[in-house]
Amino acid sequence: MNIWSELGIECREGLTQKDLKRAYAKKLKGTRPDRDPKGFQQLRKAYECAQLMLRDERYVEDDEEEFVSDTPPVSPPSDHTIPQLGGATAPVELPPLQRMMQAAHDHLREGKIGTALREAFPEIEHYLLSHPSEYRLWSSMLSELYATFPVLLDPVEGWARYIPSETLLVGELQSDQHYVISALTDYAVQRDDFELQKHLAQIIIDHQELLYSPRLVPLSSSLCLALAIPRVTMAKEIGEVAYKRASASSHDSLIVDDAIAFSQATFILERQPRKLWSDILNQRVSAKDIQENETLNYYFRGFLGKIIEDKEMVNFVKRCASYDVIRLINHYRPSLSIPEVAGAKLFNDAYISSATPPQKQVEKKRRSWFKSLICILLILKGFALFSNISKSSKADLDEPTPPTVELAPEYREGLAVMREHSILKRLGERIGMTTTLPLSEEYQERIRIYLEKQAKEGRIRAKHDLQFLMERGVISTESPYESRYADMSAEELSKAKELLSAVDPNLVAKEVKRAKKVEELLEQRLRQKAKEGDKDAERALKFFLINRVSRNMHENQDDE
Amino acid sequence: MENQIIGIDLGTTFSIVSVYEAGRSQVLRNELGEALTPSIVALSKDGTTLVGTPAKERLLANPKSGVACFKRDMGTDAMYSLSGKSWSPVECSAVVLRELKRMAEQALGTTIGSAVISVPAYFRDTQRLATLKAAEFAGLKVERLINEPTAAALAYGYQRPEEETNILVFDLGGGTFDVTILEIFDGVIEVKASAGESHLGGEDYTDQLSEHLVSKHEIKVATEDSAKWRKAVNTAKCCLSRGDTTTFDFLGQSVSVTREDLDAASAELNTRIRGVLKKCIYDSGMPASEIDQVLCVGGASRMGIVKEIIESIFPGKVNLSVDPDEAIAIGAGVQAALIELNEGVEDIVLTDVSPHTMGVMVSKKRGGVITKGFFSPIIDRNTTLPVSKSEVYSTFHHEQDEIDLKVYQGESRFTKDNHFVGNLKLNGLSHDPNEEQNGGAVEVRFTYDMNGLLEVEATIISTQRKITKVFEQRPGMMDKNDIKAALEKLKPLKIHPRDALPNRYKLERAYGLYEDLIGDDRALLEHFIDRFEHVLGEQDFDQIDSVGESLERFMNQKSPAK
Ligand SMILES: Nc1ncnc2c1ncn2[C@@H]1O[C@H](COP(=O)(O)OP(=O)(O)OP(=O)(O)O)[C@@H](O)[C@H]1O
Ligand SMILES: [Mg+2]
Repeated sequence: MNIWSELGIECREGLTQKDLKRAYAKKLKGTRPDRDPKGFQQLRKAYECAQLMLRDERYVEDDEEEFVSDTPPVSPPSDHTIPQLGGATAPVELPPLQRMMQAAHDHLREGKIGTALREAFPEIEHYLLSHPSEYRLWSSMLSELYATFPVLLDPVEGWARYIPSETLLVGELQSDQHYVISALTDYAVQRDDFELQKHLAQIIIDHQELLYSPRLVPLSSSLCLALAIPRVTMAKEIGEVAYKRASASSHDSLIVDDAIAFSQATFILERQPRKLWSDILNQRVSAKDIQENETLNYYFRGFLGKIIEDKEMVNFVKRCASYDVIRLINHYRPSLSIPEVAGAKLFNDAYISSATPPQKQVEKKRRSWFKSLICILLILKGFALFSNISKSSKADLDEPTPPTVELAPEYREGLAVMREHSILKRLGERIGMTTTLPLSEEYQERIRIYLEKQAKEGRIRAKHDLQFLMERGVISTESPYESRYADMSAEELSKAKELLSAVDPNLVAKEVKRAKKVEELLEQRLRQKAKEGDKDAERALKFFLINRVSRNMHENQDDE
Repeated sequence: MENQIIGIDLGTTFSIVSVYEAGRSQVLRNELGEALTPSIVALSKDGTTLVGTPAKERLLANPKSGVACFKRDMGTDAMYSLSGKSWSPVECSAVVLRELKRMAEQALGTTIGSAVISVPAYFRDTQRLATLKAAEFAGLKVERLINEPTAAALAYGYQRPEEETNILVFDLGGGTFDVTILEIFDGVIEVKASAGESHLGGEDYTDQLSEHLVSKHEIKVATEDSAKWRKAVNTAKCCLSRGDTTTFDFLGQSVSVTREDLDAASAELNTRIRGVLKKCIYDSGMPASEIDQVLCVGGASRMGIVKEIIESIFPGKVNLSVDPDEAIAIGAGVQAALIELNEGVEDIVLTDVSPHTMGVMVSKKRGGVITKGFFSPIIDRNTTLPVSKSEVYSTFHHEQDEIDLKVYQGESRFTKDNHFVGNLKLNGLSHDPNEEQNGGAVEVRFTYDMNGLLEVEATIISTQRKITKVFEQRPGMMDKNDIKAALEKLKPLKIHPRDALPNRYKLERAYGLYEDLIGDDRALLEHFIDRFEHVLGEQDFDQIDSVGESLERFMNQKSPAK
């Protein structure tokens, strides 16, 4: 059954929406939605389809014209037939909007962004003003365009320049889908394109309706960030409107998101500076209160994000960084926004520094030639060791042990989790790896080597970190490579490790090359000696090879 | 007529019951001649459940003894404590429904078993279910939930089915706001789009005005006076719909209020109203200029500022022919007639839409990372009802055996921003990827019925095993024990003459007045009350009326009834 017989009318030229309605109404009396839901759904589908077809001027005269003008309707060309559902259609000319979009698309594809912006889009704009009912269609076409736009529009500025165009805004505001703005925001956030973010934020401010778009709310946090730094008042504006709306209505598709919290906090901040912090500090407000009270919750998170911008606040933070607060931050961690993470880190650091002794001033960077020299010397030294040339070196430096603090177990656990997170994050940045737990064997070994090396350089913190990570089981106590060292004496082992850590990963390429040359030489000679039956040389070779494994690892990471 | 269906407008502030008879839908009145029953439940001093006007009076004397505006909390876990007992919004609604049922039975002289109940168009699934539950507690079978603005349009359209017109219904009640655009042609009343907010209404205007006045005149309102203060502000707000200024007296202080005060206090609410209007117009796909008339319903649509907003968008289109208070109840009565296949309305067919998008939560794999929490819509908002649609989803991995299908309602891309409706667990999906082609695929079918309620059916494609609805978890729903306890609590009590509505009302009013009067007046009133209580206690039916009347006369002298 096709749609026309479903509706009980014949498909003929000059059919109007009115005819359609009449037919539908007649059929509907016998197919009531509550008595015959199945039949009704079919009828409805047919009706909606037919309406869509008639709406298209290609096929049928505009019924309005019929009423307005007295002249007989011009019959459409005979080859324009109305397609049947599922039936094949003859290739027909595109309806105007599609045609214009196609043109814009073509310009873009040919790289003529300017033409698209100056000619194609204004034309669409003009058309839409007189055909408001097509905004929806248009906005969905735009979203398609977006899907291909990273390819079509490079550099992005072309697209961004198009954004403030009235066409887009009118359409976006009309459609309430906000495809393009949300897609662009997504895009800008992913690319960390701060300029574009600012740009979009500005648009959202100028057109506050956009603030109400649930589609945009989750994105607005980054937008607010973009805005807030240069334009605090603007962020406040966004925050205020959104916050009021969200808290006044239970229209929950509008959620108080990071953005709102953030800008709301900015807003509150001016009125009640640091009140929340001092309340926390004076234990008038507990972490539990914050967690349970929605408003405090927003404020707290908002403040967290504000800390980095306020130097004085840091002092407050240091005094507030109690276990409870750390735990609270910990609780939020999965959803923290960028500024909030920064704030959380400050807390974290403040907290850790209160639990570990102050770091020793690290020696100034040695000059690179010196470094490479040492490197070579050490390799040679390693060689010398196995050739029984050198004497054993002096004992490890005595390091001061950190003061022990008696902590409640849960307190310790909270602290530990925070610390774990911060160490891994820091290390991850240094040696270029992702620190999601559990760590792979290779990463464990990398961290071990790195920390051991740092510890050897006198960095007490590294030593503690290593110990700590092992205790926490983040990296295993036994090195997976350890078995290879099994048949070495304790002294040899410590020497070997020293050797391992001595190879500085930050060598410049030239120096690496030189070191490599020495190594090659060394290897050759070791192999030679081992072949000749020298047991020491054989062990040294083994050691050497392990050493190189770790070297390669460092090099790879340099390549990254 | 046997098995008559009544129409009920269960409002935030007032409720109304109606019935279709002799070709007309009309509202019914109680023994006091009131059509509007305040949606308030209270407990009297002796623990009797009060509803309607007596409850309102009781609340004035003792704000803690009762609860109003509970419609706003339907579908949530909210609980109120009334004189130490804990009540849910569903139970409170049930008490009101039971009262309306009683009113109808008394007025019609038959027993009533079923009803059409109106709900805000923007009510979500859980709120609708809560309404059904309340009706069940009240002993009413719900034949249909009808959207309030749709009912209003029906009230307008059922007597002129041949008119061809596009209508916008603007429904600003006590607690909810709905806008609906409809088209009427050839007896078809077709809803095109609905938009709204379930927490925006006249009560919010009162709240804002109250806040504004408190800070402007630096008034201190003690907790025990809060109900009196609110009542005074509310009255002032209503007066401002007629004049530009008004003054009221609060504990000896004279407070003056102007239109400017109200406009300033409500600026933010008005912005929200404009937003909803806009959204609905866009959704309907109809330019504002094609709207032929605007029907204003809900008490709060009488406000000057609201009228101005409407006038600015639809100049000269407001149609004043419907009663803003009664239209919804009348429409519900018409819907009842439609269900009864009453011949008076046989030429009318009503079609409505779903106000929210319905879908499920999905995870996406992007760049090897699986991210949870995306909303995948199945039925778009403003689709004509009933409708049934399906989508196919599949597991990530052939070893994944279980899917937890979480159903959400809302418009955001992210489920965390939408409303959780319920979930449904499916297992038996793991399969051998070499043997079965559609191993992990599940067809999810959503069926949205005429009541705006959702049914979900999932079919595992490979085995054709079907699982229907049975949500394991729905917010705001009670378990069996709770239901039992509620029914126990709501058990109709044998009515003592003291509790018969007019007597109860007189007593509550007297108790309230007692607190206001002093000196001789108070002593005199006490005398009247004592006598009245005595005859009520004796169940002396000959005396009750006359003693009651003298009490009333005295009260009217001291403080005229409104
Ligand atoms: N003359 C008036 N001017 C301003 N507001 C008024 C007037 N009369 C009534 N109201 C307000 O209208 C509201 C009640 O309207 P109505 O009875 O339509 O709501 P409802 O049906 O109880 O609630 P809802 O439909 O939201 O569930 C109250 O907030 C009341 O203060
Ligand atoms: Mg109402």
